[in-house]
Amino acid sequence: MIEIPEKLKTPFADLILAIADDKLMLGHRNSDWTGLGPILEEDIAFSSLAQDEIAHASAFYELAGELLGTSSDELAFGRTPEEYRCAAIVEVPDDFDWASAICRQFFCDEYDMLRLKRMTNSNYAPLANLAGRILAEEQVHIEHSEEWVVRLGRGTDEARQRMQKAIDRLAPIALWLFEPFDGLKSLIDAGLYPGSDFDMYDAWTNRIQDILEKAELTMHVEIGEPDNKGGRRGVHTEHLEPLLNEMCEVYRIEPGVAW
Amino acid sequence: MDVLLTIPDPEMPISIVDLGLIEDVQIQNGRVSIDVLPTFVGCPALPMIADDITRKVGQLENVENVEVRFIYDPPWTVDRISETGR
Repeated sequence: MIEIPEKLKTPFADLILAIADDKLMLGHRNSDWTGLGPILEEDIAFSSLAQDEIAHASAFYELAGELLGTSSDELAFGRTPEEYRCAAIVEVPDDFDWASAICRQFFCDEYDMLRLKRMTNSNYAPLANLAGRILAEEQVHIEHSEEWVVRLGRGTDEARQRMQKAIDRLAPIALWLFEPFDGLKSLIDAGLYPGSDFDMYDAWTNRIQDILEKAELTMHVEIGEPDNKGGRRGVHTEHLEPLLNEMCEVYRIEPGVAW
Repeated sequence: MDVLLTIPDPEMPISIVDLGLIEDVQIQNGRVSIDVLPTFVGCPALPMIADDITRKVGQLENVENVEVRFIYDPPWTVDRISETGR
């Protein structure tokens, strides 16, 4: 597809903004660990993750900007909270519990691998190319997340307890990554985002359970029809607004100016 | 585009040509368009590289306009590094 038809523009932009917003918030949260990582190696790892996630977000914002006729900065920092399309898991703070940071990254990385793979099959070349490039970079992210989940799960009593607690708290929230949004089906039908959300959820759960088994940890969640709207449809947790206030502080001083 | 050979990666003494970053150069009526492959999407040196290209190519005779585009296809890989680069 060379040109996105008018009636698909909004859902397609929503799809791209969802991945961009997820990554921007996750990158912002990752950057909180700079200077505070439990060991130097992980301080550097989370700083690198932050750099990657934010850069990936930026590239997706560029793509969305081309569709919507606006700039990537405007999209990243200039929208109202309802206009963002991130899922709850990247909004909730980790309260400086490193097990939570690892758990959050784990759930998000596993989801992104699947989401990006679907995007590489898009018939819109700019998305397919970008997703392919980013998928290659996600490989190190996922190795890092999976290895640490196992290491912590099989570590000391404290490590295991904190990991289990993080999984228990975050797994139900992580399900909102899969919230369907308006027009999703039309994107699938048009070949812009081929694949099935059911297959995606199965693949996600199966992979996670494989890793958790190795880690001697458990996850008990069941996905169902959401009875209210969530982040994919602009309804966010109370954590997003303070996050945006912090992240957008400089931009808001004078929107659009070059710093 | 020999001038591109004079532009180094900001972090190591190797030209962006030898690093395999330059995918395509188009010249038409004084308007130059250069497609660049990032080594990785989050590389913080990209804006610097873009500036260097725009400035140095822009200084050449008969060049009216320079456009630098970062593209993701083909993906950059290590085997794009030239013999000289290695």
